[in-house]
Amino acid sequence: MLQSAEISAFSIALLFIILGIFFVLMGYLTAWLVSPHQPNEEKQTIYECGEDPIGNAWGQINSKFYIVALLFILFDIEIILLFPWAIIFADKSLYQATQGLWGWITLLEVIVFLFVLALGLVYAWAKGVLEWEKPQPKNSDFQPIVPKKLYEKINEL
Amino acid sequence: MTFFFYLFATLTLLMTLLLLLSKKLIHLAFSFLGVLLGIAALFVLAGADFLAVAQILVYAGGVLVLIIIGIMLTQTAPKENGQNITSHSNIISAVLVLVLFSMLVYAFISQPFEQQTWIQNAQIQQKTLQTSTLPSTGILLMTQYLLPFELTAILLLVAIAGAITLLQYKNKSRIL
Amino acid sequence: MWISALILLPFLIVFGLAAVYAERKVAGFVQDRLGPSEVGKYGLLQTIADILKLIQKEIIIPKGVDAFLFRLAPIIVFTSVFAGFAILPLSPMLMGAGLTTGIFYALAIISLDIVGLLMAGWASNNKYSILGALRAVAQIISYEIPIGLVVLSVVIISQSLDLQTINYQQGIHIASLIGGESEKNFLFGIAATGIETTQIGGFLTWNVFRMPFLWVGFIIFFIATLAESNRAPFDIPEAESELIGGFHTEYSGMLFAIFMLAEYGMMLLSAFLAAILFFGGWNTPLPNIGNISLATWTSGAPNTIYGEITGFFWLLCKVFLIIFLQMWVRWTYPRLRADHLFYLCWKVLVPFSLVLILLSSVWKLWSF
Repeated sequence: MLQSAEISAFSIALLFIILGIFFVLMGYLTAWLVSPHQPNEEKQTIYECGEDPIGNAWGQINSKFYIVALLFILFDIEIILLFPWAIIFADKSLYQATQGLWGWITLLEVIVFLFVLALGLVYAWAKGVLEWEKPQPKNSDFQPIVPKKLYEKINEL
Repeated sequence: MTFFFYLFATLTLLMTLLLLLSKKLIHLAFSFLGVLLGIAALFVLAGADFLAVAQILVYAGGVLVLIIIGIMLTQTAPKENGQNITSHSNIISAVLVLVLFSMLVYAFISQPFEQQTWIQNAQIQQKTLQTSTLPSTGILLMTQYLLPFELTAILLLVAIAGAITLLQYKNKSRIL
Repeated sequence: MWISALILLPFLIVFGLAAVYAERKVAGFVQDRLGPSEVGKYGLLQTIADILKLIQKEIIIPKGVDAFLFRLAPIIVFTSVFAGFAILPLSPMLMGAGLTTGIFYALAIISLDIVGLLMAGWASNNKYSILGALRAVAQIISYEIPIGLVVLSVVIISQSLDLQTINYQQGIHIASLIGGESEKNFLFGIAATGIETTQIGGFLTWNVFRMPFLWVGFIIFFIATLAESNRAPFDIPEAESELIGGFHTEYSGMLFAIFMLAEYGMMLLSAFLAAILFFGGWNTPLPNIGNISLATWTSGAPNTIYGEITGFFWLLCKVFLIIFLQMWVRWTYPRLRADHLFYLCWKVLVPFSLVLILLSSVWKLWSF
């Protein structure tokens, strides 16, 4: 038996993790025993709509994903810092010991905290960071031989 | 308890070794996940449950993803499979690492841990290990450490502004 | 309670099989057709045939992929979702891991699955996979913010992160909770109304009625968890018409089955969390009305067998209703465009949930 209740609770969480890994490995083992192994050149080609793949996929990616991850971390830290407050701000004994002052004062402190971060959100909003880059449709310079009037006639039908 | 401590400590060290020996940058990032989880488990064993969960949420769920995306962002499409980390100054870095390591070892040895008052207090009041650290963290954040708490908000605001400034610089040379 | 681990793993697998069947039936009826109907009576054995086929399929590891990470990714995705189940209380006695950090731990461990998705996408060395994985990550991490904020506002109302405590608070058995002997519930959570609902129970003591604004919270939570589990209308990461299969384009056989199971596990977990956080968990929806004590009859006291059975029954009813809602939404709404997706998250859900936090904290302080 482990000493602390908290640590023994985490040991159950560890049990879930071990069980999950074990289950997937068992699945792999079953599949490995049951399924055929007949690799060939065509099967092992990386899928690219039926063509042979061009180049390598491990290239540079769009930087907008990086910014989303960066914004996420900042708001994540905010949430983490609010959790310890959320479970004690209306604590009965603290509330009664201070005649209700404790709740309102900590709420005020958190409102200041949230206000500063909401400012960050507003700033990001105003700067247009929260908009996902839209691809601009390009007009093709293709000149069809068929005149447009013929299409309009068809569309009228 | 002791068994679990050594288990997770070994796991963390193995993962760190894997991290250091990996040839591809992306493998380095993924083995960092193992290091972070091992450290989180050590935090749990030290009775710091809030810290452990926050560590997983911020580092494994946030910073690690940022690192991986950062690697994907900066890598150039390689001609062959994978991309090797080239190191030109092996000797210099080895010397630097050795100096740093010996300094750390010296600091650990010279520190009389048994005589630190907070460690003695913790040994006497074993109650601190029995309960969750979450409520006390909350109370301390709202009273004693209120200023750092509010300053964190300012820091995060500055970081958001910095991130937005970064975005204004558009990267045109990308393939995906 | 370590036994809940042994219950939940088979439950998740059976649920996966049943949910795929239910999904296809729901899809069929929504689209005015029958759905699977060949294998077994009403097609009941369809998914069992499917899973047998999937196990027998060859696991193709294409050339040029990072073979180790390719196999590791499904393990990480499934394990991180399954580890989130650790905190679920299934009935008054089966309380899960009983972590003080409860729901906070679940949020953290679930967020690990994006590392698995990135790993799957990168290891595949396929352009569609990488794009799919990146889209999935951008979407999931964005929608984690409203989820965190809404969970925070529920935590503010219940003053606890432990889901079992949150369960007890929402029913007539609140006195059985350690330290909850003097706890009282009032109509809409406000003592000033003078209508005590502690003994009335039923739906009146659910969190959505203890603090009515949590209805908005539930809607935000529901939308965000749909996005979290990559389900339509938020399935941009695996949009078939443009990305083939997203991050699992190259996956086949058992490896693909694990990804599917993880996705359904995510659905199940979010439905469990929604039922516990907003709709009373294992508490009965029927209130006591005068002498007709429906709540007492339909939910046994904790630590009795009748209490266990009724608790499990009511929880599952709520969970399956929410899952039906998820399927219904999937087959009703078209896929969102990427820019609409981010508009919805950052400009609608995040501001609303920030306001919700303020509202629920003021509500909580007023209720004293």
